[in-house]
Amino acid sequence: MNKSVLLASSAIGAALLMLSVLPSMAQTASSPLDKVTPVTDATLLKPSDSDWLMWRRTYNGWGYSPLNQINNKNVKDLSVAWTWALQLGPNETTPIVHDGILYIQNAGDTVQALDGATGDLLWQYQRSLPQPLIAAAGNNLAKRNMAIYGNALIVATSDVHLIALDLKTGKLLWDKTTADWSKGYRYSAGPMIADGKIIQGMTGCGSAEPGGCFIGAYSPKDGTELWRDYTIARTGSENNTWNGIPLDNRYGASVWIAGSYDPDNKVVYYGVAQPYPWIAEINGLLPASKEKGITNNALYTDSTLAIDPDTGKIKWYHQYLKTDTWDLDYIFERLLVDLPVNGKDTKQVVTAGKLGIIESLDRDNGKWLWAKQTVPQNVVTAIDPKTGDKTINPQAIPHIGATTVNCPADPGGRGWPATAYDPQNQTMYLPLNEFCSNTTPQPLDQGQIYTGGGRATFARFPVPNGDGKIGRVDAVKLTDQSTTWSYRQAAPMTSAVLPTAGGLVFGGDWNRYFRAFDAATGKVLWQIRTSNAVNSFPISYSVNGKQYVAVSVGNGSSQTTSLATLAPQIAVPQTGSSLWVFALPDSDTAKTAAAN
Amino acid sequence: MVAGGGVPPAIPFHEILVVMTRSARALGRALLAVVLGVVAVAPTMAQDTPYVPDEATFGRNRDNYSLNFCVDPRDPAWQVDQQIGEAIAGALLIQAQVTVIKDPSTQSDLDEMYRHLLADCDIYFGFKLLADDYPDWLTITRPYYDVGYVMVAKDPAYKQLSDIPRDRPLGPTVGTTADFRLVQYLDSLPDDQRWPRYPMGDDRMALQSLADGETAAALVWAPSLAALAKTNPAFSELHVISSAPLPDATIPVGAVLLSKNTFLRSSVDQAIQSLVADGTIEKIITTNHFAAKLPQ
Repeated sequence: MNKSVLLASSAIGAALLMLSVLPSMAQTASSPLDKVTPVTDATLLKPSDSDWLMWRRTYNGWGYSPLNQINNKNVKDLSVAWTWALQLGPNETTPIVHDGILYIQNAGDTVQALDGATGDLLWQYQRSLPQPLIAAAGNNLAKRNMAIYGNALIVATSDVHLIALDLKTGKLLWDKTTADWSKGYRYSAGPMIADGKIIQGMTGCGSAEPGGCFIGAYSPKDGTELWRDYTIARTGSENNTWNGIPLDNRYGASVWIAGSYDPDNKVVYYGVAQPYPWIAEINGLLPASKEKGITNNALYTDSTLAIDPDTGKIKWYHQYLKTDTWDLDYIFERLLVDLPVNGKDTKQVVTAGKLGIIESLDRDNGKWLWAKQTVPQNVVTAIDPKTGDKTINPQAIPHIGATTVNCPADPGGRGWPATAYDPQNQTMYLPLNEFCSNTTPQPLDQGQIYTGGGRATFARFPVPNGDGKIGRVDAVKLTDQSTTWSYRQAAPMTSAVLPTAGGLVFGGDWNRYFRAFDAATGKVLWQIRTSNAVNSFPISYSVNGKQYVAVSVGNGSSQTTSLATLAPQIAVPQTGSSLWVFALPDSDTAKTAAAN
Repeated sequence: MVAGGGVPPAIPFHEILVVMTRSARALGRALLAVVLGVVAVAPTMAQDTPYVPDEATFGRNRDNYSLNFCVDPRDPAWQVDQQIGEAIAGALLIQAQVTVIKDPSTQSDLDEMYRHLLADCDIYFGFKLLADDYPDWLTITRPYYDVGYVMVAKDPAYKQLSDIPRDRPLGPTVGTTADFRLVQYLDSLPDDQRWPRYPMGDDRMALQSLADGETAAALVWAPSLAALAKTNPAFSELHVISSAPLPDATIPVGAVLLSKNTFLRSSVDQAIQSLVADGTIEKIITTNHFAAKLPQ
């Protein structure tokens, strides 16, 4: 090697060295990322009040913030701290906040780390997705949550991979394919961490995925699959609940919402969605077989599964709705509460399905405890007070060649926007919508490849003899299942609710309003009109002693486009997804600090 | 209403709906029509087209001197449809601009069509003319051929549906128009006279189950049978049987386009009419040995 080459290579080497150092020099000078600490099992078990470390903040699924700087006395002064434009498309997201950094997954899997106090971009990861997925857009590109563990952000992607991103740099640490997106497998919810494992549910399991969906556990080191639970029963007596249909001809049982975790009992609780296609006469669950020992309940659809996170063993299950033929999932968040039932302290797992019926189980054994109706419904005519078994209104069952009425309908009296629980007043808050549907089964074969997707036409309309109001927020005291208050409005409710220790409940709607309700009375104490539909999961966190409330807004989820048909008078922009972050003026913050 | 602890009394509305019989539903429909009438005169702000976040970027049709059309290789009849599209362009004295959709997805939602009709083509070939089965933003041309579903068996002893023992399962591709007719027929039979029905995810699965002996008959799209039989020798041993007394499941096939493209639709309809009349469509069908008939 001659001297000039050596000199040249030395110069290039020095330049490269400088280039590689520059970003980290910038970070070491002023980056808030330096303060980011690894997230351990202990951190997840007892998170700092300042942080929001998982989908519903804590393992019990409450979605409750213990922060009280913003409270029912000063919320009137709440104002915009900063905003951040998000990628085009539905952003149903839940930010994660840790050590002052707000991590957010945009539509289309752009993941960003932002300074939680200022909104400054610290790093960004952009997933390169297959073009057909980008073109399909819609819910294909929306994700509802991420997980954080160790030094990594764990992300479920639209091309059905699990990936780990370095918390401080956004660098891809590992990337694992978990299923084939081209066959229809999808992630719409993200992972949770339980017992040192990544737990992730799979969705999209239609007719191209015989045998249905599954919940998997994956190693946080490299994404290696550790176990898999299929959510369509395939063994034992549960195998005989599919009307005699072979396993390969059963579809659905998607898992499109993350679970909850009881670390004391080491049990993960997940919901399972309905059979596909939705209409039972199409999917083969009707007419019911007369064969002895065969039912058409379709386990484990519309159930809670209690799973050992170490082995994947299903400890127990409870099915809320047998032979679901309406797309009335019981998939949503599971609230783990310890409250008395009939005078006896009971560990409960509480959830509400699309019917809007709140139901509680003993989370030690799955025994059904109680139910509470919210929105008008005509599908269930009676609930057995001991077992929870439901008597179904035969006139609400859809039939090929007929139009039937069911209330509510897809997308549900409550949809994926989550309910929440306030331990201060033992109250569950629910974002709800009241409506009915003329339901007509439709064939799937318009184009040989292209289908109607909906498997039925849902012509939605307001509840007959009602006042035309669609949106609603209910407060239900879980100690006696009494309704403390019910707020009703014309615009559909489209966001999850966020109770805080400040005596507030935040929530938003299709009409772009984001509101703070008094947790005790339901009175609207503050509201702001944002730039788009509030269709995500609001959170609260604090940085350097200042509390923030954050919520993303944006159009395009299938839930909003469905509910929009009930409110044709409301115009919402097609574009303009963004993250809104609110805080009190510094003067109010100082006052609250002094009072505390 | 009977319910668990803490469940309130029945909601009055619920009772109203429970007694809403099918005959009473006519009244409900009339009331609904009134409601819908009110909705119809309200400002139409609701999202009546699929959500495409970058819709504004697509602009208008790029070229008025060509017929920009899409075909999809996942459709077994796509090459026949392409030839028909080219013939239509010729009849309109404009150039054919063909976009072959490249999507590895096993199935696609009809909503995805909206983006294709914004971004890739003005008209998309290979869609079944099913009444009331398309969203308002889509319209379909007049059909250019009729083709249908066929019942297929492996056992040479089976010549018609009634030859199949009642305990042997039928394997229709799930949710097709023909499957709907099968479901309704099975529903009309006494319990002990019904064949078990195993819904199949697609035509390939239906034919594979039949070839494997898991089912006694499949009910599939005729062009799929023809295409799949060419690639899988096991399928070439299958034979079509009479599905009587099921009604004939022949379906007219045409192309879809955005409802607002009324001029294009009118032009294409006239072209199809002339191509049927002058024998062009028939020639394409015959040349391709395609199991279709001229539209009735």
